[in-house]
Amino acid sequence: MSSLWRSLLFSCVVAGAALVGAPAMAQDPGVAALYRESYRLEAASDPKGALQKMREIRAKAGASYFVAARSAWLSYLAGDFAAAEGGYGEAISLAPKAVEPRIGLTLPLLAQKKWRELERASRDVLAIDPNHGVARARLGAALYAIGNYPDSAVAYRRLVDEYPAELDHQTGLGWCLLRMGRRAEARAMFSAVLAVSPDNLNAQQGMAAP
Amino acid sequence: MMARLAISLGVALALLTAPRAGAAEGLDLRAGAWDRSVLLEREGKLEEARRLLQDAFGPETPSYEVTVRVAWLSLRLGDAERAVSGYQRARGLAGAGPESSEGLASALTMMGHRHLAGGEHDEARRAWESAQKAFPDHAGAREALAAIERRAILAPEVWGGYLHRVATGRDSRGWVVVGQLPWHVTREITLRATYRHAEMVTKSGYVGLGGLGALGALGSSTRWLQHDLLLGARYEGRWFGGELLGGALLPSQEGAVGLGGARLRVGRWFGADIEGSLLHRDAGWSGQVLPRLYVSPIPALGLAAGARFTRDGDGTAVSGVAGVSVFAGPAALSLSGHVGPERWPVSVSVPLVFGNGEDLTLGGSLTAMFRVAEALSLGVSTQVERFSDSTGSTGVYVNVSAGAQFAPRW
Repeated sequence: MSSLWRSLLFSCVVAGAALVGAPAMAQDPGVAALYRESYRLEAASDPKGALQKMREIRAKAGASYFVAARSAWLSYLAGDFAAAEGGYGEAISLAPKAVEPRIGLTLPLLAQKKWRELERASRDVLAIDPNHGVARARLGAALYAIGNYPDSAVAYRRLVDEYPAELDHQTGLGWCLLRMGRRAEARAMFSAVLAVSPDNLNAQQGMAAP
Repeated sequence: MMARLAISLGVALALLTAPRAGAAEGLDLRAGAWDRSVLLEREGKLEEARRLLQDAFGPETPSYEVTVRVAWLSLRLGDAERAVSGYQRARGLAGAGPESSEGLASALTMMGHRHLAGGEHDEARRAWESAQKAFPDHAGAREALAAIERRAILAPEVWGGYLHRVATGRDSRGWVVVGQLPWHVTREITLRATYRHAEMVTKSGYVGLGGLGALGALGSSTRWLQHDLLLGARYEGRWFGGELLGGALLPSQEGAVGLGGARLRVGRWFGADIEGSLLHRDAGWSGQVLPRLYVSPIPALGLAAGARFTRDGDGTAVSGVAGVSVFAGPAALSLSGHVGPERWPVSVSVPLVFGNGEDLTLGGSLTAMFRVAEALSLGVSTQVERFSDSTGSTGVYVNVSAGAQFAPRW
């Protein structure tokens, strides 16, 4: 009798542990269906619907890095930048060594024009991956926006050398040079962009700037 | 207990998420710093404009624009040294443009004028040459170099003095006038003409040779005079120089004395020079060689020592010579002397021929010059010589002179 109770108790403990500790993965057919639906809705340009599915997944299977990161991304797509900021913050806390959520965080910060926070977030990425091109570009944008044209120009100059076909880097550098009085060099950069992209609004505005 | 735990967690979270104070402050200084610096410059607050950028970005910023701007502000502030170092650094940074080279040339040109004002002509020239190398089209450097190369200066000087010669049984007094006209064709090349007129009268009652070799008449005053005309051409470069001298002495007691001489110098702060001269008199040829070593341990002090070798119809004579020159601001003092016999000692570098005929056995001269105005110096000079003449008489010769020199700075 006692051995039976012990076996039963052990089985309950094992089952309980499996329920509590296991991630919300494909082992649960309900969660798998929710993931499928979330991807389908995102592809159909319905980020809000896709985000709702992620919330249901969280309720069913609990929080995880993947849930937090994907939810943050969907919040950004849906235009809920504050929620996206919070979501990426949660993802960073769940994977503190990861670059991915930190670079993700720069998206809602950029959208909200939170330049100081964007500068810090970009530097956080570069602390892990010093050559991260996207982080350097976002840092350049943040520095320009807070009026630190010299450091912004340093960042953009290096990006222009390393990614010569990326026109945003060239216009970014052009605007820095313009703000620092190097008009001839700035106009040369804008002209070079317009030569290959005649309708580039940023370059057009740069050429027209007083 | 839960409340205390929550507070502790809250504090821990705040500590984890708070930015590092030092790094954040440094980055915050840079936000808007460029525009604030430009505004300060427009308000005429150049030092504040410069300091703002230096405090925000530090001395080793990789930003070309900040480095050039700090150098530019230093130039406007007259801080040539920092402008030069700033522009030099900027030229090696990514994004460097022609303004850094032009700015460097401007800063070096400013530095050159500072050197010139301090009398450091070589340093001034080097600064302007460096400026031209940095930016060949820099008008200021080009004009400064052309000015010191091209400017031809006449620098006349005139001396007048009192002569007194005392020998056994003879007393002679007289006067001397020396005029010299150097023409500084370039900084290195000088042509010059020197004329000297000396007269002495030997008092009546003295017998024998009177004055400087004039034949005396028993119980009468005799007058001796001499004209000297010397022409010279000199080249003085940084590490070597040379000079040629030619002319004639016209003493009243004999025929014209032809003179030719040359000098060669090697060295700069220390080195050697050698003078040689030939005189032709009625009595025959006389040759001299004067090798010397010199050293200038500090710019304000010059030392030289050597020996004069004379060979003529009276034999060979050797004397040791030494001199010291001291420069202190507008004043210059020169002391020289010899020990040993000298006959018709020729100084190619002055240029002059000292004495006349006798053996000058011991003596020296002291000259003090003082710049009283931009281009005018006044001086006093004295020369004392002990001599023995052909009759075996010994005596002392004294010359006290005063003069003026017109010597404009380059």
